[in-house]
Amino acid sequence: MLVVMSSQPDVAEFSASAVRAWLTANCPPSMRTPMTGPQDQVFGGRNADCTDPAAQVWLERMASQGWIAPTWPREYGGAGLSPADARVLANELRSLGCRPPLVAVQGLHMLGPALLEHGTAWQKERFLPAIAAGAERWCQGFSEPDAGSDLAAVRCRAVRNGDEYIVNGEKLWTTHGMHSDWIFAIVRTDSDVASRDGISILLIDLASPGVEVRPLPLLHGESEFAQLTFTDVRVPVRHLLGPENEGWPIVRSILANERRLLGLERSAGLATRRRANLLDLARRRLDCGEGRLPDPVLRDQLTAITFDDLSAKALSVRGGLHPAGLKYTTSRLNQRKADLRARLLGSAGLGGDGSCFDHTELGMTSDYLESRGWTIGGGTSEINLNTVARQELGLPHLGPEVRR
Amino acid sequence: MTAMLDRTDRAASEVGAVAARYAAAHYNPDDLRRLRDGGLTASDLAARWRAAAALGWAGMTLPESCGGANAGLGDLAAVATALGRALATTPLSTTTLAAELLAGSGGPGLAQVLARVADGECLAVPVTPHLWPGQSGGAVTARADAEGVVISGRVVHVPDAPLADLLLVVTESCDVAALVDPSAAGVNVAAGRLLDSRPVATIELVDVAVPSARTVTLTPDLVARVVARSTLVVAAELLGVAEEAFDRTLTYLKQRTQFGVPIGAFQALQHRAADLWCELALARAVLAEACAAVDTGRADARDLVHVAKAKVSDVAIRICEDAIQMHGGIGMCDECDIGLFLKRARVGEQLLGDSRYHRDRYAVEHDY
Repeated sequence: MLVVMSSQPDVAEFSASAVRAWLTANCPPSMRTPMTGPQDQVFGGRNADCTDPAAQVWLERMASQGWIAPTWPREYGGAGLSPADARVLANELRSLGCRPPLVAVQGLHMLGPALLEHGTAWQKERFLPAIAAGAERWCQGFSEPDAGSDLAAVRCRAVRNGDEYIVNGEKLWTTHGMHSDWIFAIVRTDSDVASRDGISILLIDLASPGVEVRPLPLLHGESEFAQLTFTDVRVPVRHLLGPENEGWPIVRSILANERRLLGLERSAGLATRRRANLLDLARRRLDCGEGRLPDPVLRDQLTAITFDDLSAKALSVRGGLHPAGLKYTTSRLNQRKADLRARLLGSAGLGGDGSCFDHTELGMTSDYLESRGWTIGGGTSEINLNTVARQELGLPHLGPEVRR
Repeated sequence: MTAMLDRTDRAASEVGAVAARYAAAHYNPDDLRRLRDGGLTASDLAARWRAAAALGWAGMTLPESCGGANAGLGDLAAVATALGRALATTPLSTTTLAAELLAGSGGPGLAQVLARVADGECLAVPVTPHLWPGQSGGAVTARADAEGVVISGRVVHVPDAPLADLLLVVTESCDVAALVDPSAAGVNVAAGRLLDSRPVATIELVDVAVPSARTVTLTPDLVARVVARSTLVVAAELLGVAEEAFDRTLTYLKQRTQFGVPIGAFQALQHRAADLWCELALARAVLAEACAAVDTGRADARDLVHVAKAKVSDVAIRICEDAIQMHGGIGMCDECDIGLFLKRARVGEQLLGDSRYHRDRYAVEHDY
């Protein structure tokens, strides 16, 4: 239960020092230590499995402040902060080393903004506060077996029947699909028109009869992904987000948000994982102590990656690149890092299982394998380059996509 | 991304816009051919620079007490980028290095020289192997005598030296610099042009006597700080070169038709262009960040100078080489301007250190 809560700092008083004071008083000490692994992340939702009371208290206090979704209006569980004030808050959270109280990318950063812009009054009231409090967890239903890079080829069908849609079809690559409560899914509501014109977005309760969710293991054995099958799933018409058949522009803005996040947050996400310092690994590999590395080639490789890292950091601070370009750039950089880390381990980075490998070593091997997917998920590098070429550079289309 | 511009960036972009207009009116890539073929000389460049310096560019980062405008490095970088875009052949980076060294130094007769350097009346060029770091570029030693110092030595390939009214010769120990008239006895100037047509000279000094009134005192720290700042000026110029080469290539991709379509419709070229565009954004961001870090005295300023010069150098070379490839046959021809950008980039890449040099310095400074 909550202890003493100071009140929300007045808007006029929204200052770094007031925020810091509140955070210092209210963030439990253990929530100001680095996470030890993915198990420390708090995802919320109806079936939340958070066993750490401090994490629970931290989530509840931040939610009461509206600081889980600080820029959302107060009536929807936010704090109504300006983007500038939200940056002040984010800076303070970072500088105090506070753990994220809630990891809910799909709800907070993908569906949330789309609901605020396109949702009905009922939808906003029904869904936003539950996201901002971590009470309901969302996943994204975009890709399908035959609609990957060509997302507008989705075949999952929703047919209107009175006050309901009847949904049939499949979804693939659904991040956190196994543990979510709701899905925002793109469905085909009109098959007689060009592919992008018959698309709608439905908000579907995963507890509905007819929904089947199965895990989708990847190269490294684990996975955040699921595949879903919908068989005659009934969805109330008021769960339609945006106009029927005109969901595609909303899909694009959600995708842009996703790429911006993947671009900016990929390294932050990794920070919670096994992220040994490359230099320490190099010293261990070369069996050398402090001082200059005896291998000049390796030294240069390390520095080159550090330089690219610092450049990417500068880009995230200063902006100036389309989200698709940001995702393309960051995913490749992080792939190179995962590769070098595992490579530095030598044979210890080749482990499958067993007591001759330790937890960290297996983790780096797994990260390397997983990293091959970073240039695929969230839009392949090639699709992102297409987007940059066409949207940012104004280069012309060629090929079948000119159909319309 | 306007929202992300802070006040300093806006001021810098206004300065940059003025510089861009000036550069477009007074400089032209074709100047590089005319310099090469003799239609334009070093003294023409010096005269143009004196006219350009009326805009306050010669000493813009100096304190007002030294005749400068007390501008931030971000402002100077904006000017350099605009000049880089026009492939303007100017001594901006070298003379700024000389002016900042003078402004940070002490010694007799300094104020008078500095004011003339700051307003562009006297074009001072630094003579020091720091300009081409990571190679054995020569050195100058000084010995004291009754009147002042006697300096001797040789420094290779000093950019802009043929334009100079005054050589600021930095000695090997970085504790004193001599103000030397290029035509003084014992000074041998072996002039030439770099591959981008920029005037250059190897300076040989044989027992050149310099009275104390023509010397200034330096410290190794001052030299390192000023060299780091000039490294960003060179990077900024190089960024302009890369930006313009990219823009011209993008225009060409949209204009050039083959197989009945603009070649920019082909995915192979689209991906190449989009990848370069991302690299350009990284280079632009890290340069801006480095200038801001230096201007505000941030602890990571020295690191970011290395990263920025390395990144901009690599990106500029990649863009200018790919630009020629994407122009195809015409890209190989002297009549097409795109090749001139590669020549300028090739020089800017190594001036004040290429990426390999800066990575090595970073590793040394971080003890690994």
